[in-house]
Formats: sequence, structure tokens, C-alpha cells
Amino acid sequence: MKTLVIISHPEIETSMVQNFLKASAAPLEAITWHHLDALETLDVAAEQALLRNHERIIFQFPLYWYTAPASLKMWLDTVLTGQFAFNGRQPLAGKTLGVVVSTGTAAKHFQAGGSEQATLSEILRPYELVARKLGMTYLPPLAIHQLGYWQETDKQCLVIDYQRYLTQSEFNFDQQLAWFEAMLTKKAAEATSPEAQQRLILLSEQFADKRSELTDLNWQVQLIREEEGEG
Amino acid sequence: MDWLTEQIQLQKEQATMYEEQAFYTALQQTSDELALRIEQRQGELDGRIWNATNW
Repeated sequence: MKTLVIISHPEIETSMVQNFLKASAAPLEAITWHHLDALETLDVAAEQALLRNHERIIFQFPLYWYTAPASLKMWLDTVLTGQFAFNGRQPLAGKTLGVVVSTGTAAKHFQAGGSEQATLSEILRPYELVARKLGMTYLPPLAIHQLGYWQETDKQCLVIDYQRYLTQSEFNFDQQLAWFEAMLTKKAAEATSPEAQQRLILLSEQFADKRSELTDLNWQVQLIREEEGEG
Repeated sequence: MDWLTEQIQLQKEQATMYEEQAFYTALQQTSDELALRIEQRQGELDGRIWNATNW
């Protein structure tokens, strides 16, 4: 799966979040990094070709006045022409659209009764509607609130959450396990010594065994639930 | 500490790159969640098998 990360940020060089995300994505293959503010002009045909050539599209931006910075709005209005996006063809149908949004406000404020009085899902609804109109599947947004205050362990987890957001096929627990299993296999293949490779293969196998154990247990529990009329 | 956790910690200690360390931190969290789900399912299975009302 190829992923296109469309970034809208007028001051990307000094953005801690954007630099952190870029470094996090660096080891991944098949990721196209596309910074809109760096483009001098919008080549509509080239932008549309980029969309066609990727299966997952990500809009990545800081939240400015409850929406993306101007460059993303300009891009949407210019690139998603009626001729391209509608006209009975839906060239982006079946692809996925994700939103990676950073805010300078704590997560707790984005809820009913919070100081922002709205959830991020509500605020980001226009992008969800764009996905729907284009026949795309909308991913739950990845929100990064006040990264500067995060604990080290949480930052490390963000590196991997972000990598998974760009590359994991589906977002259930089994697919999360499958993603880690695939990464362990990849690391084993790239190991620099036979000992390191052997350790990683063992780790990968043990992890896969645990995943199978859970699958079996889920199946057995489901069977008994059905027998007891719980379905 | 179980074998899986030991091995993940060992890999994390030997990791020299930040992204590598991050991977093993996240793997440990996922592994903990996996172990918890296995324990919960085993508990539910035991509970349902030994449910006297169904004897």
C-alpha cells in the first residue's frame, strides 16, 4: 500500500510536531511526503495523478481556527475539480483518507462541556464528508495535543502509532498484532549478525504464537456464547 | 517477567536508534494488551465451562 501524506503548514521548519512526524516516517517505505506550502504553483494534473497513485491519503496539519491552514483549502478547491472527482467516475473510490491534526489545546477541552465545546470529530467533519463524497473510507483522526508536554514513553508510542496510521491496513487489534509481527519479520531479515537475527526470529515466532492463542480463545468463547444463546 | 517481555526489553536496551527504541516500547505495550486479553478470554472460558446453572 502506498501512502500520500499531504501536509499543510506555513512554518514547517520550526514545527516540532512536523519534524517529529517526518523523522517517525523516515524508516517506512512507500510513503510520499507532499508539503503544499513548498509548492510554487499547483499543477492540477500532477496532483490528481498523485492521488490516483496512492491507496491511502493523509491530510496533515495544525488546527488553525478549527480548520486546516489556507494551503489545504486552496488545494482542495483547486485539485478536486468536478470533472475529476464526480462526473460519475469517482477515481478515488475504495481508497482511505486519514487526518493527522495537531493542536495547542489539551484533548480534554474538545468535548461537550469542555472549553472548546466541540469534539475533534465534529470539527473535522468537513474532511469526513469529502471522503464520503469521493467514495473513500474515512479513518478515525490521529490527534496530537500539546506534544511539548508529553512524557518520553508517550512520545515513543506516538512514533509507532503514526507509522501504523500511515501503513496498517485496518484498525482492529488483530491487525495491530499483524503489523508488529510483520515489522519483527522485517527487522529479522535486516539484522546485522546471525545472533541478532536468531533472537528476532524467536521473538517474532513467540509473538505469533500468542496471537494464535488469542484467536483460538476468541473462537472458543464465541462458540460457547452462541451455545448459551448470546451470539 | 515472562520470556516475551524479557526479550523485548533486551532488544530495547540494545537499540541504538530512537525509532528502534520506540518500536520496542510500543511492542511491549501491545504485548501487555495481548497478555491481558488472553487472560480475560481464559477467565471467561473457565467461567462459562464451570457454570453450574448449565449442568
